[in-house]
Amino acid sequence: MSARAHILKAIRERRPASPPLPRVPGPQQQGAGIQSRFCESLILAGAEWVPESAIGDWGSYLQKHYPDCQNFVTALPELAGPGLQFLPATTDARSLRNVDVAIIKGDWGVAENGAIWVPQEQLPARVLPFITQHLILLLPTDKIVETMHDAYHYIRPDTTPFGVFIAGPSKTADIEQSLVKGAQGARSELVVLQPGAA
Amino acid sequence: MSQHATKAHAFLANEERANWHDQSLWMVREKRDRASGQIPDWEQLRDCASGIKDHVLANLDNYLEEFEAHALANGVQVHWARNAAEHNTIVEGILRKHNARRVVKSKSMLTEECQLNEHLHRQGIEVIDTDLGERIIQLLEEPPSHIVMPAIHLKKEEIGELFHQKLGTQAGATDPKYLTEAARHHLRARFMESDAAITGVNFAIAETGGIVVCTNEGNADMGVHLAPVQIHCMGIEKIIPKAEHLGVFTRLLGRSATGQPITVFTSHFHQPEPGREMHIVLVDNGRTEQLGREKFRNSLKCIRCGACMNTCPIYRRSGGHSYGATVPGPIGSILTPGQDLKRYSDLPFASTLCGSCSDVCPVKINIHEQLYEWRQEIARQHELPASKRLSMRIAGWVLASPARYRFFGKWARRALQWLPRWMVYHRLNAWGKGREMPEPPRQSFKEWYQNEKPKQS
Ligand code: SF4
Repeated sequence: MSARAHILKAIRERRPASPPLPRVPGPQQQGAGIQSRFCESLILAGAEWVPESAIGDWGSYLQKHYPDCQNFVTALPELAGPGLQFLPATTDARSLRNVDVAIIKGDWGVAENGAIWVPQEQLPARVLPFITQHLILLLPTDKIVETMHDAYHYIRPDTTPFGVFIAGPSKTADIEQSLVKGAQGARSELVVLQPGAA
Repeated sequence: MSQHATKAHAFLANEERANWHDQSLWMVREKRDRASGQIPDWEQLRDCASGIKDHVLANLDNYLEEFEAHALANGVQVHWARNAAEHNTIVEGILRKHNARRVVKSKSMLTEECQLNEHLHRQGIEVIDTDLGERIIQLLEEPPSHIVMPAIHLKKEEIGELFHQKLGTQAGATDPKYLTEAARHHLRARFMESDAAITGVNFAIAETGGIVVCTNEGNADMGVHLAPVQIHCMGIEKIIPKAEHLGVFTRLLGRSATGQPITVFTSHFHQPEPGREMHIVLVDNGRTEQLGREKFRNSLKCIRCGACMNTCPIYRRSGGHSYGATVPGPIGSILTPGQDLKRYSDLPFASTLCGSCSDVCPVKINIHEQLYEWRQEIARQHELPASKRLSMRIAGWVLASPARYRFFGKWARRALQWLPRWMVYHRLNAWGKGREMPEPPRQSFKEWYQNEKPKQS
């Protein structure tokens, strides 16, 4: 008997009677002040945020706020320009080892924890938001929902080959419980809030 | 003394360190309390998670088949392993096919349980653990002492010294930031040159065939996305029916584990990148057996958050290594006797049965009740240590007869007052070690009641 058949048989012989599958909480209305709750969660997660209007010219904004960085990349062609390289969707992962700052777009934000959903379609390579030293995420404000229940109401994770919720910079507390940002992934996360369609 | 008691004794010899360990974990428990307190429907959420897991266990065969069908349709290769040896052979086979010699691995309690690293090392394949805590203990050649915080038992001075020797950091450097930075450089180089990446799995979704991996460091993603082959190893109990159930579990996991509202990265893998391979290994290794144990099958609902360890007064004061098991603490003590009753027969006794573990468990496993059940099971199978067996037999004999009970009660009240210390505090009286016996009352309750009764009527 194959391992598969063996395991399935063992389960069938031992499984208990089935209780019903509980219902999960349905989607909530986006309450007043959802944007400020989202921003608070971002700060708690160790991220920062600015409204898009505060950016002005991307080139000079990056130079001013990331003075030690040289290698700026984006997956958004409309942002690319001198000093900010556009990356096409077929970029080789290991070629990104020296990226200092990456600008990408998120699809959904979650107010209760500051997590932002980034599906593969927003990524020139899956590794980009992790391998970059600093991450900048653009998010339209009308795409913020209250909780993870709501997020999974709108997101079908199997419609993308890979997708990730990102909540702040990479962190560790493995040395005596002291929180350090920039463990293996990005050292910082800046969220740029774009005005929603409405 | 049992194994756990001996090791706990050694751990407690350094009182300052034991107190520090206790407090570090209690701090994490308090963070968990604050985080869970902010969710008004926390208890409903726990009920819901528990109910989903109950339902999964009762339909595990169907959900595994559903999961496999969808994963295959997504272009993922699915493997089944009955036990640790089969699991290790499967992983080794995939690595051999790709000629992989350098492997990066993110946290996976399952591969720890199967001793995959040791197996691959024997085959000449190098495995680098990439979670910082895991890398630390790997360099130290120690097992993890906690399932979420593997190096929680170590002081920064010890890590500084280790990194000085192994990674060339400055002698005497102990700043966590500096040490983390050194590890970052060391690990980034490993990610760039790896031939394959292995991860654990937090959740596997039956209806989509995808898996979810949660980390704070981003090490699972660094590994997977930079390597030509990705392998995800999971126990068969990690299945959840639908994607919408992730809402329930992601809300519970981070808050219960470290008091974070969610882990930094919650990665959903459904298809390999074009031209690459994605493998999922489904492992039984004793889980179907546990499913057949009515009183203990509940333990398979565990989502490995570690909250029961952080809250446990015994774990906090004895350290993870004292359990001698891959999964230590309360949950480990109900999982391990099912794997090897003889070897782990002392672990269900490493508990005060205070019930704090069951109170914090996000999937509502009745951990302390199962500990109690295991004790009875162990007594039935004659696996009790001699000191317990003897005292239990005597106690049973005394308690079986009211006359004997009265006689010995009277005798004990006297004896405890007059006996010399060495006759009361000796090898058989484990309770009296580090504790004083209570002051014996002058009379029994029965005697007191007899005296009081006439006055009342
Ligand atoms: S038994 Fe419960 S509290 Fe303990 S690790 Fe598992 S899920 Fe967490």
